[in-house]
Amino acid sequence: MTAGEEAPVLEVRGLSRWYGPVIALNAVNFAVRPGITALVGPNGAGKSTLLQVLTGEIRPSQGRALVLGEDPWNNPALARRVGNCPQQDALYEDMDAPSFVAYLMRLRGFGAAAARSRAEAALAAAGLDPAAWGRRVAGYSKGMRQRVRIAQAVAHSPEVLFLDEPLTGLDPVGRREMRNLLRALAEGGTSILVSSHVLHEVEGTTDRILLLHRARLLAEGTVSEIRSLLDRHPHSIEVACDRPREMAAHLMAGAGVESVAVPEEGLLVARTRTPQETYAHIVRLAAEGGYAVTRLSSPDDNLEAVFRYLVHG
Amino acid sequence: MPILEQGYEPYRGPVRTGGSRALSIAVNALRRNRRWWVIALLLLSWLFGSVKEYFMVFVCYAPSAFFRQAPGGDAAWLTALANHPNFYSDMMATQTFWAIVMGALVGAGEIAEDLRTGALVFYLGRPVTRLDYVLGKALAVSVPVVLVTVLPVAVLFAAQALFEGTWTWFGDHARVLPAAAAYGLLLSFFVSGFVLGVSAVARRRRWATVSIVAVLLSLGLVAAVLAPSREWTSHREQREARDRILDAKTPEERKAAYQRLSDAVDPLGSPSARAEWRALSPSASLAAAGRDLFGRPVPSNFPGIRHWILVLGAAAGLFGVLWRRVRAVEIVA
Amino acid sequence: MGTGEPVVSLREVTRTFGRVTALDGVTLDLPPGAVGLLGPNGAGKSTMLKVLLGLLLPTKGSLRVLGVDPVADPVGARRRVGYMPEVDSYVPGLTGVESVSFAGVLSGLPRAAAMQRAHTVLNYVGLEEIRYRKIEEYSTGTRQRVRLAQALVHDPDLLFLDEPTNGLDPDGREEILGVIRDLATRHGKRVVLCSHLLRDVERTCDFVILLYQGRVARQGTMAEIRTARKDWYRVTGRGPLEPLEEALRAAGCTAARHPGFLLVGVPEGTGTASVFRAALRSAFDLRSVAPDEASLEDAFVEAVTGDGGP
Repeated sequence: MTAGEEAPVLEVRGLSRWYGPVIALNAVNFAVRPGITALVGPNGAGKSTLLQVLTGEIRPSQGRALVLGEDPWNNPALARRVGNCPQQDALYEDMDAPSFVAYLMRLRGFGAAAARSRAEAALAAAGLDPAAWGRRVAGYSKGMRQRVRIAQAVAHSPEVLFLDEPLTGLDPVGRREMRNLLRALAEGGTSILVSSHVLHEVEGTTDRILLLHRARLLAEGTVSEIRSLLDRHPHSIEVACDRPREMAAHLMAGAGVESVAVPEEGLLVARTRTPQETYAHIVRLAAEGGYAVTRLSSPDDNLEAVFRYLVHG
Repeated sequence: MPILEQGYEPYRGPVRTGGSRALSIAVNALRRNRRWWVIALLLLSWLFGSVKEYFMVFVCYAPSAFFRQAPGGDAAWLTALANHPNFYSDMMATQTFWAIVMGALVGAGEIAEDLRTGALVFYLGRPVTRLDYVLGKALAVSVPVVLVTVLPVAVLFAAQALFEGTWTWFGDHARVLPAAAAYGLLLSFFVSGFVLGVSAVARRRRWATVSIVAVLLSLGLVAAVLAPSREWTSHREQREARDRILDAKTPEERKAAYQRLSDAVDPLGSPSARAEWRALSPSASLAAAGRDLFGRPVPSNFPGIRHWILVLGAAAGLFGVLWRRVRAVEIVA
Repeated sequence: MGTGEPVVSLREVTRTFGRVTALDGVTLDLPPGAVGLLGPNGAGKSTMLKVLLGLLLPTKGSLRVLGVDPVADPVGARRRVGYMPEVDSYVPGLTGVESVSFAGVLSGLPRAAAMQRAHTVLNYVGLEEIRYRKIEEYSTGTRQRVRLAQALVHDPDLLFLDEPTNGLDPDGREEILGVIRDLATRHGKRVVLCSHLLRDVERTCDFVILLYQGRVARQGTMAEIRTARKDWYRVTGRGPLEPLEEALRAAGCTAARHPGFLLVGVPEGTGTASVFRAALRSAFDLRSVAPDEASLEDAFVEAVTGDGGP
C-alpha cells in the first residue's frame, strides 16, 4: 500500500479460526479497498466463517480482523456503520416488512419517525412491491424475503456492507435490479463485500475478488491480474476471421506464442505466454492485413477459468 | 467382453403400471419402524392385560402337553382357557389400549416428519396420488393395531378350537372370528385417523407422540374421575372368579365360571351418577362398539349408538384434518 | 427419435384461481432437446409445471404429455416424466440409495431392479460412498444430486428440472449442467429446465420459452433469442478508454460506455476493421471484440419490462 492510497476498508492479518481439529480459516491476510469486492470459493472454503468474523459474530482463534480500522467483536458503535445480509432466513414472521425493518433501525439507534422513513426508502430501493407492505412476512415468497433482508442491511446507510448470496430467490429482473442497486451504493461511497457462487454475475458487478479454498486465501486482486499471474496456464486467444491460416502463420512468428491451431474453418486458437504482445500483434494484423475479423475473445480470461485453474490446479 | 460404458444407461426392464402404491408406502413406513424396542413392546403387549394369565400358562404348559399327548386331559393349560365367547371380546377390549399405544408409536411421526422434510413433494412427483399416500400411512398404522388385537385372538381361538372343538363349542363361538375382524377394522380406522390426524398437526414426531399421550391420558383421566369403572370396585370378586375358572374341570363349568367373572367385572359400566361420561374414554367407547360387534349387551350408560358416533365421528374428523393438511402441501412452489 | 406427435403440446391452456389468471390461453409444442422455461416469479411457470404433471387441472384447454392426457390420467402422466423439485424434499430416515430405490419402486420398477438402477443412477450423478448414509446428513449439493437421481431412476423420456443448480458452488454447477447436457444430447432425453440463472440456461439449452403474465411472451431457439445486432460490437481492453473513443469517433463510429465494455457502432457493413484500426492508432490494449449479442438476460429483461439494453 503506497502513500496516498485510500485506507483499507477491511483488513485481515494472520486470521485463523478453528473448531477443534477442523480449521475454517488458515492464516488469511488481505486488505480490501473501497468499492465492491467479491468473495468466491468452493463450498467449505471458509467464506461463511470469514463473513462471521468480519461482522463480529465470532472471534478469530488467532490473528485479527479490522473493519474500518476497528475490531468488529463486541463493537456496537461499529455495528451501526456496518450492514449485514446473511444467507440464513430469519425474519420476524408476524411483522409486516416496514415494521420489521423499522424495528431493526430503532435497534440501531434511530428515532421512530426516522426509522420508519428509512425502512420504507430501503424497501423501495430493494424493489419490494409497496402493495405487499401491509402483509405479514410469513406470506412472502422467497424473492420478497430476500428483498426484505437486503433492505434491513442498507436502511441505515452503512459504510460497509456484507452480503452472502444476495441474489438467491430473485428472478432475472430482480437480479439485475439488485446488481444495479449494489453498483449505485458503491458509487455512493458504500464499500461492499459480496459472497457468491454465481461467478458470471460476480464478474458483471465487480472486478476485484478474494478467492478462498480450503481455509486459505488463494488469490486477491482483479481477475486479469490474477490471470496474468497464472503463468502455468498459457492464455488462449480465439480469433474468428476469414483467413485463419494466414494469420496463424504470422502469429507463430511472435515470441511467447506456444501454439496456434485452426480447429475449424474460420477459427484460430492461439496459446501464448505473452498475451499483451500477442493481442497487440493481432490488432496490428487485423488493422493492416485486411482480414475480416468477426470476433476476438479469450475463453479463459474470465473468473470461471481463473476459479477452475486455482481450485483444481 | 466390451468395456462397460459408464455413462447413463437406459432402463429396459419391466414396469408395473397399474395398481396403487399405497402398499409400497406402507411397507416403507413399517420398515423404518423395525426398532428393537417396538418389537419388544409388541411382545409385551401380548403378555399383559387379561391375556396375561392365559397366555403365560399356554406358553409354559403347551410343550409338556404335546409330549404327554393328552388333548382334553387335565394338563393345567387346558383348564386355564376360558370357554365363553365373552373372553375374546374382553381380551380385545383390554388390548385396545395397547393398540392405540402401538399405533401411536409407529404412526406419530409419520406425517409430522414427512411434512418437515417435504416428503410429500417427493411422493407426488412419482405416479402416486395423495389418496395413495394417506391410505399407505393408514395401512402402516393399522398393521401394529391388528397385530396387537386380532392376531392374539386368532391364535388363542385356533388353540382352543384345536383342543376343545366340539360342535356346540363352534356354535357358541361362531361369531368370534368375524367380530374380531370387524373390531380390528374399526380399531384400525380409529387409531390411524387419530394418530395420523394428530401427526398432521404436529411439527415433529416428538410433539405428536406427546400430544397423543396427553389426549389419551386426559380423556381417560376425566372419564375415570367422573365415571369410574366397576372394575375398580370389585377386585376381590375378580380374583375369586378367576380362581373358579382355574379350578373348573369341565368345559361347562369353565363357561359358567367365566360368565360370573364377566358379570363381576364390567369396565364399561359405572356406579357413578355421571356414568355416561364413561364414553369419553376412547378405549371405553371402542370397547362398547366391540361389544355390539360381538353381539353382547352394552351397559346402560352407553345408550343407543352414541359411542359409535363418537368413535366414527372422531376418526372421520381427524382424517379430515389429515386430508386437509396433505392437500395444502404445494408441490411446485 | 423421428418427427411426429410432439412430446409435450398445450392448446389454449388456461388456469384461473378465483380472479387471478395464472395461465392465459397458452399454446405451445415442446421441441426436442433441452428447453429453458423462463419467466419472472408469478409468471405462471409453477402453475404450468403443475398442470403438466397432472397435479392441477386446467380451467380450459387441452394438453398432452408423452401421449398421455394429464387431465384424464394424472398418475399416468407422471409415470414417464421425471421431476426434480426445487425445494429440499426427502423421505425421512432413508439413506441416499434407499431413497432412490424407493422412488423407483413407486414408479413401478420391481424391487431388485429398482435397487440396481438406483446404484447405476447414483454413479452417473456422482454420488459415491455417501449414498449409504442418511439424507439428513447430506449437504445441499448432495441432496440436489439425489433429487436428480430420483428423477432419473425410472428412465423417463421427459425431465422437468426446477432450479437444479440452486445453491451449488461453481464445481457442482458445472457437473449438474454437464449431466443435463449429456442427457439431452447423447441420450435423447427431452429436458425442460426452469432456472433464474440465465447463464446456465444459455449454456445448456437450445430452445427457450419465456412466460410472462400467464402467456408465452417469447419463444425461439437460443440463436433467435440472442439476436446479434449487425454493425454493433462490444469491445473490451485495458487502459484508459478516451484515446480509443476519440480514434473511433474520428473513424465515423459511435462509442458508448457500458459497465464492463464499450458499445461501438460501426458504419454499415464495414465490420470490425474500424475498431482494430482505431485501437492500433490509439495504442489501446485491446482484448476482445464481439458482435453485440443480446444475452439471454437482456432478452428476458426486455420482454418483461420493455426496456432493452443492459
